[in-house]
Amino acid sequence: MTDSPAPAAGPSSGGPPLSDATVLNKFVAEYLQSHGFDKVLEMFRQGIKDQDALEDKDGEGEVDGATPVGVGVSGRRGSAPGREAIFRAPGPVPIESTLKRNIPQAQAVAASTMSERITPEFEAQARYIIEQLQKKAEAQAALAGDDADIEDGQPPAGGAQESILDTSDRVEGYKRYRRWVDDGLELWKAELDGLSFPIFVHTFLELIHFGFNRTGKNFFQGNREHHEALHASEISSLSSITSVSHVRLNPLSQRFLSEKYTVPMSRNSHDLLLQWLSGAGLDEEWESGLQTSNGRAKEAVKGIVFNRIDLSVSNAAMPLDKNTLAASSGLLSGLVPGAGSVEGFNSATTLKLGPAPMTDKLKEQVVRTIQDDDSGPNGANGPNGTTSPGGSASALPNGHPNGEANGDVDMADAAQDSRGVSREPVVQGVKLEPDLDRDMDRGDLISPEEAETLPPVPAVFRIADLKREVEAVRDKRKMIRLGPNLDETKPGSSSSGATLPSVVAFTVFDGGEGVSSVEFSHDSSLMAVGSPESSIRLWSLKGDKLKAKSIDPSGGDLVEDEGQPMRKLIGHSGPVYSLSFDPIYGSASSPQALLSGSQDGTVRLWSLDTYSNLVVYRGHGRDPVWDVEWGPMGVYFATASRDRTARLWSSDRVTPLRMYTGHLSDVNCVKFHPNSLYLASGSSDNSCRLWDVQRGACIRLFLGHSDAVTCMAISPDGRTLASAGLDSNIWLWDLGSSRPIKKMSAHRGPIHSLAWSAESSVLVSGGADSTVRIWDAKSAGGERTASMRAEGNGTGRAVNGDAVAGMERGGLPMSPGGAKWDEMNSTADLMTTLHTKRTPVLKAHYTPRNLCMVAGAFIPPSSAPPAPQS
Amino acid sequence: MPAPQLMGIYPADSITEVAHSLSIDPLGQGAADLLAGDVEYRLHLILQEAKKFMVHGKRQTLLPEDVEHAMEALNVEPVLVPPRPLPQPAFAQVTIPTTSGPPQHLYHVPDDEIDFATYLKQPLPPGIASSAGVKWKAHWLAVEGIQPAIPENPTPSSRAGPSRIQPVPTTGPASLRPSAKSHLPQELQLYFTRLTSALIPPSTALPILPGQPTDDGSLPDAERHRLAALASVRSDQAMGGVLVYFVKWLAESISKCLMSATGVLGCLVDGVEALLANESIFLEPYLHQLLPPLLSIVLTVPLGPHPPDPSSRLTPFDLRLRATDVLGKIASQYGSQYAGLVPRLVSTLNSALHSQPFPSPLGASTPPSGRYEGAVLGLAALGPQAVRSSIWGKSGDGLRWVDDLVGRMYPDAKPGRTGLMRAALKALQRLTRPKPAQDGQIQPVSWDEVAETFGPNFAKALEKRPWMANELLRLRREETVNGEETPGGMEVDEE
Repeated sequence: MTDSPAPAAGPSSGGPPLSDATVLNKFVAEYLQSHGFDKVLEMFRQGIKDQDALEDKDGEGEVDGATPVGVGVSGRRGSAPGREAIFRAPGPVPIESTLKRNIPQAQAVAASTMSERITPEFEAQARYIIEQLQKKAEAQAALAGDDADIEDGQPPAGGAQESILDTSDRVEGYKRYRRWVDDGLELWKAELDGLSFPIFVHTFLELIHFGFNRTGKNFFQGNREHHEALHASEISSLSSITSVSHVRLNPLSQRFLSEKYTVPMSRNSHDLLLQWLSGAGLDEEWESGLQTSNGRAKEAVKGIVFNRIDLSVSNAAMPLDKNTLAASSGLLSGLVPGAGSVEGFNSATTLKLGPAPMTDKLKEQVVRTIQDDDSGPNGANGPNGTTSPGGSASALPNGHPNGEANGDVDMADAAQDSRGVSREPVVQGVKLEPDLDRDMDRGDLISPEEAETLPPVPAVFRIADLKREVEAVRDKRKMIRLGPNLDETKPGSSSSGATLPSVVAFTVFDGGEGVSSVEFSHDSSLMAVGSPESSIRLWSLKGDKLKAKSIDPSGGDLVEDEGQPMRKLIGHSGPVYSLSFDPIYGSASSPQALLSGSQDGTVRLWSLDTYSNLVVYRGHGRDPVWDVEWGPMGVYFATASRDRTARLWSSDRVTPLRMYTGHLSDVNCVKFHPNSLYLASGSSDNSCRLWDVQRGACIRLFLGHSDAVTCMAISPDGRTLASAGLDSNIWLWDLGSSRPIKKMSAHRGPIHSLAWSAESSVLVSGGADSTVRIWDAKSAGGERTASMRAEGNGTGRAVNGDAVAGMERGGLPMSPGGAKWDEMNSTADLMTTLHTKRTPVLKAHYTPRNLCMVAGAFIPPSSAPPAPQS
Repeated sequence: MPAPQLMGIYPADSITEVAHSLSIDPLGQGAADLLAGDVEYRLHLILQEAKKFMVHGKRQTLLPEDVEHAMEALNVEPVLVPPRPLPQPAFAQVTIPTTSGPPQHLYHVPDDEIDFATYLKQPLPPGIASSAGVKWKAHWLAVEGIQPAIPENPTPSSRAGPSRIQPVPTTGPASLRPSAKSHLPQELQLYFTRLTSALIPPSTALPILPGQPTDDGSLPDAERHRLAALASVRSDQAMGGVLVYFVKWLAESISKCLMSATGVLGCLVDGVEALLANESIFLEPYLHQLLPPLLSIVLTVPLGPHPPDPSSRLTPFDLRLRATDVLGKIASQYGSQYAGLVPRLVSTLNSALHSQPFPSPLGASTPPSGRYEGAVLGLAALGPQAVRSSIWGKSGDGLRWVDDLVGRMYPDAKPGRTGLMRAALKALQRLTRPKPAQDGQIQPVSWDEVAETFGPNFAKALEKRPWMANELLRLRREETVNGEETPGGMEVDEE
């Protein structure tokens, strides 16, 4: 609706507040006369004569008179009092008498006693008509002000009345817009189509607002399909609206009404849009102005575009790509604090994404231990730096527990060389081969200070730290190098194409009640499975028995029982949605603690020595805890909950330390940055945010998903965030610049889990479509071209997207391969798809040595839901 | 009461029914409608919330406990649902007879009263009693990206995809109509895959195509495979099974490859040619798919990579020639059955030939002569009648246009060497009598007349071909004498 407090108010604004009916009648009559509504005027006069008979309607007119001011008409609030009087005072009476002759329904009603039959629908129509009249007046005033391009400013009265009752112009406006976009140039289609969603929503909300509930509903149902692909969650939320009161209750519609919808556009498409809206150019509708339905349809669109939509026009001449469009359109103004743009918000802070530091002492000790190891009997690597056969010995420890050492010592050494630290000879003795391009690779990342991490790096290291770091170095050495660029980095290597990970699948069966979460420990010795009936099961993957320690009450000694193959942890009273093993030992030895989050609103800490519950953390009230994760160095952990917050806890306190608020819907998942400075959260409001753990402030906002984000993963090198969710797409985000890197799609159902390989080059995802998909995170991605498909099919592996090779091969479509039909609609960076037998993949996990582990619960065919693919 | 306004899916009648069952005053007018809308809104709300529990339970089916949890989260009094695997209550249906129209159905949850004492004594349901507990099993889903063929992994055929057999209705009218999606059996899929991959040799082998033996006289592997595949296309009855896919593949491949190496296109044209030779298949329905790509080859400018690949043995001109050969074969094979086929081809080529030269996409240095060459070659392939009507024109007047084109396209080349002139002469051979074996009796040619009637470029091009020049002049003379129609040369040239 056009709420512009524009010239329309002209005639009425001058007058004093009118409450007296006769004065008002006079005023309306003048108004109509001055605007040439002859026939309406006539009826209006007729209506005044009837007024005595209709007196009892005044009350109702007043009751509903407040409504138009209430929702979405905020602009009208401030307009002239005289105008409001039209709504409030007995004004509606004459209009209704007009209606009586024009609305078939009203005519039928008029036969009986009309006063009892004024339904809300009827009132709404009256309101609508008034609005139409005003609009017409506005337009005419505008035209009169102009050079009067159209001489025929006064339409035939009959036409006017018909148009008054015509609700279809808004619908028509939307349809016309869509048709215009569809018929237009392919080049700008994506951008212009981005505008059609807000137009759709506002058209729908306006129809509902004016009480055309059924028209609105039909309109919604008829056109929702087009928007479902990109706005599934919004559509689902709006689909419940059937009346004005719902508009007021629904948080999303409130946001639509109170905020402007941002649509990014390039300059050219903006010009095209303005041209179309102003009717210039090729449009035949120009001549007709407001007098025909075409003109009014366009007017409706214009109203929405100018009042409800914030067009952010970029200076680029080329059309924006789809990822940018998705990432920067939406109801953005409410998402970031202050009035700034999302881009400004995202670039306001620089991040320290480097790996966490390690104390010199620890480093020294690690190096020494490794050295001892190497010179030991089974030392594959001689002290003089003969590398292991795979050439993968960049054996350098760093501060990260998960084993992604990337030559941290090298860099630190270089830095310390200049400072003349005497530790140098030790390192030289070990001769750790630097991995040069990695060093350069992360040259731009700033490492946090020792005191900044969570918890601060202790001055004195513990045995656990040493073990962890040493194991990380060993893992690094024995790691299988994955990814497609093996050839480039190692010219001698004869292997063709990419090295893909080996995947072990752990299938849980006979589950009965199913499985709601799975977690592997960092050393791959334990698997924990949370069930929807509240218990947690623990298995040793090594075939060991799980022995519980206890203290002998008589002697005070530590005793172990004989152990069980499976341990059941019972304590929760609802489905267990998330599990996390403590990372303190890294991959060196089995963890000692397990955290679990559940529907009952609690997080529990379990000891894996005694297999008992140690602590219950309550803080989210009764709201279910969707996700829980230990910080990368233990001690602290984060939770995500339905109460729209993520919280930070210390395991020694039962109250949260920080609350991260800002998401507009449930926080579905949390993920720590490897250096523990930042926390990423994914939400049902289709966004991901990055929080400064210490300050509790949101510092990055990632928009682009079209449905709830349910899982995330931050690459071990700390640069990239991968997020995925119900929309079956995976987005990669560059944390530093907060730009979307690419969108990867191939899954045909919600994605349950993501995992990065140790060198951050290969991403693996598992989803409800019973597939595990392996992605090349470093390639450019984009649409799969035919040649890639051909080559990928030929060898079962995808090759780096190489446009030249594609041209040379001639880009054959449909070429060989019936086996990979399911990769047809995927992006080019999909390396391979691994199918399971009816096992939706709930968890994907990489060991530090790059073995991939996935887990899921087998769904027996009898009780199975229909396959997601069909 | 006005007709019930059904806003959503929740019927207002249900409200009325519920209201009747409660001891409250009868509902006012319109109340049922309003309430129905509101009930639906609340249902949406609960379902939206329940969906979250489903998502976090990592399932794709909404279960009663999801709804229960959602109601708990929304602070709504939950409906008590027995936990699984206890039997879930199913909806019961009640039919309401109506005075008019079909009977309506109401659904409700049977809410029987259960005596706790007896309920607890009942044996446990089988789901609980017989369960041996949860177990797990590990297997290799993939080893270095390849799925090992072990029983734990699904077989390729059981995976999702268009080839998956979908249940076909066995009764009713739907069963008579063949499903729009054809299902290829595994063997044919394999055949198709092998066939298509063999027809297009890898790019390394392309320059030596087509069919050039290597130095030691033997054919390279790729070429042998290709020839075998072509032989299969030419003769195998199995082609019938994959015909629809094969034709589509050919058509799409050609249209994609117009700018790529000419060798690839050559292989594809070979494929089309082989397909035409196969007598055991019924190709007619697919001709309309094959003709456009062939015409694309004939008329597209530029054809092949730019700049041209010197190592390729197939020039764009040769390629056009081969495509027009195939076109000619189609015309002769099917032209008699389909009366419109040849005239339509002729008119297409004719309009291409007589179109004004357009600015070349590659710049002024390379004029778009290929289109005219292709059009002339195509007309030549379609037979003397086509040449006569489109190139020769009325008593040779049409040649002026070609002459003019040659002048414009190749301002400084020797006319006789240009592709267009070569093509034109080739086409004109369809009209003239074959050159006799002995050279002796060639009459001297009046070059002035040639230049005057056909144009200077023709005159230059015909300098080396006096017989041809004489023939053309003779044709022209005969035509002007006879007034019109079929001079003697026609029959002689009929092949």
